[in-house]
Amino acid sequence: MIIYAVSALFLLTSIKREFFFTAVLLEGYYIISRGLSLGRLPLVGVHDTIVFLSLATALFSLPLYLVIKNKGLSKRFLIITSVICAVFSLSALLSRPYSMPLPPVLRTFWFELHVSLSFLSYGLFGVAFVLGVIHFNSCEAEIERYQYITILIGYLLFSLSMIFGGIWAFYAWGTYWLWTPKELWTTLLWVLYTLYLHLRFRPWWKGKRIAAVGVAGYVVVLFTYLGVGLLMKSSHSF
Amino acid sequence: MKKLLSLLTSIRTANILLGLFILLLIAGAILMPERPSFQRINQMPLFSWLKEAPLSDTWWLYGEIAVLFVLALNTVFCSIQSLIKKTQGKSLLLKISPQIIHLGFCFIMVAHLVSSAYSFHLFWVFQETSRAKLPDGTVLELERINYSAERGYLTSMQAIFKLKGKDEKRLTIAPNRPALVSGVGVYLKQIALNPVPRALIEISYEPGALWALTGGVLFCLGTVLLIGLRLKQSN
Repeated sequence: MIIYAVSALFLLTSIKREFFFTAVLLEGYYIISRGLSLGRLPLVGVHDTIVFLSLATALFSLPLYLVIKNKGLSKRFLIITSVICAVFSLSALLSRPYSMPLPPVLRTFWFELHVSLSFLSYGLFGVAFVLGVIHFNSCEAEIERYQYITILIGYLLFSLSMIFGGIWAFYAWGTYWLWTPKELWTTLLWVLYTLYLHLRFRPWWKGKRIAAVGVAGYVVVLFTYLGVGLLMKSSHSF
Repeated sequence: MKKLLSLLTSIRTANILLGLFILLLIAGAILMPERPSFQRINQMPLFSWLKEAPLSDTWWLYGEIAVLFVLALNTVFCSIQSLIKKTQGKSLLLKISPQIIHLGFCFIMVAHLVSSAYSFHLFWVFQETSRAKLPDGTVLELERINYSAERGYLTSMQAIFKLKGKDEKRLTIAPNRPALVSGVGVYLKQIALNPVPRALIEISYEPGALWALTGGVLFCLGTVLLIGLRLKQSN
């Protein structure tokens, strides 16, 4: 936990990229050591999932930081990503880690695949959010193109996560689909990014407008993850 | 006719329908936790539930069904148009990968349609030695409930049944390990130990499952292809 708190501090002060890289390493070390001590993927409860989300966002931002040609923009990209990851890391410190034995229904790799792919896709959508924000100020076509590729890969992982969730639900509850608020918000998120991918074909939406849809998508991601998980009763409640 | 066809083959139509779908989903997501009728929605096929629930709770679902119907038509027409349209310099894979995604989407739509009409879910509470009959006449008799716990938390549970049909055999089910008996799934949902050991069993028939799985595989296969080609293109 101390290591994790230090990584959060590093993220918060990531004006220099070395601080960011150190934070990513510390966060990765924390997750791996927690997984080893639990004997499973640490992906249950608010604490573990938010730490995983922070690490996924940070890790996915690294290749983009390296490929963005404009140095000023890449620096700005790293700073905004650091702030988002730091906010996640600090919020994770507020919630207690879930270290109890898992209930039988969660003891399956379909669950692990479903949750890990969900949060990896959320991480990619987070990176796309940052790219969208940067595009608002810079209007660089390169940044918008990276946002598109990031969302496309995130969309694939999110779709895979929904399929694995369906397979798990079929084995656990006898159906691949349950009508709960979480499922509705997840579908809404998936349709929103489907809309993003289709709007891109229309010339009117090119540039800032399409970047705005990518930014709005992340707001729905956060509500689907935290808002629905904490406020509404469903099979996904924390 | 020409106007209708151009409407159905337009990506603008798809975008408007997707936007409408989102608005209706928001309405549903707000209504769902508020209205008590939704507590029974997962216990019966959707179309049966729609008949008994009040229209004030279900209007958005009727809207979604209508939007999805037009969206599915739009998807089919757009895909056909895209496949027959001559495009210069576009590789075949780049041309068909979005259509594989669309085909996957259509399979998923069929899955939901079939499940909404023909699925069923029965819930039974068994004590040890109690019996129940499956739709085909096979008798299930609960023989024993096993469980293990760690630090006061239940970590595993299983129910062992005797199956009395044409021939007699034993059946062990556990969470995530259901059994398929005469075309229906037998699921262990929960156990209780006091005052006597009991098991909550669900008998479930989900005819859309295979359609949904096929659709999901096609959808992801098409997306992987598309991403690979787009990345290759940008390099």
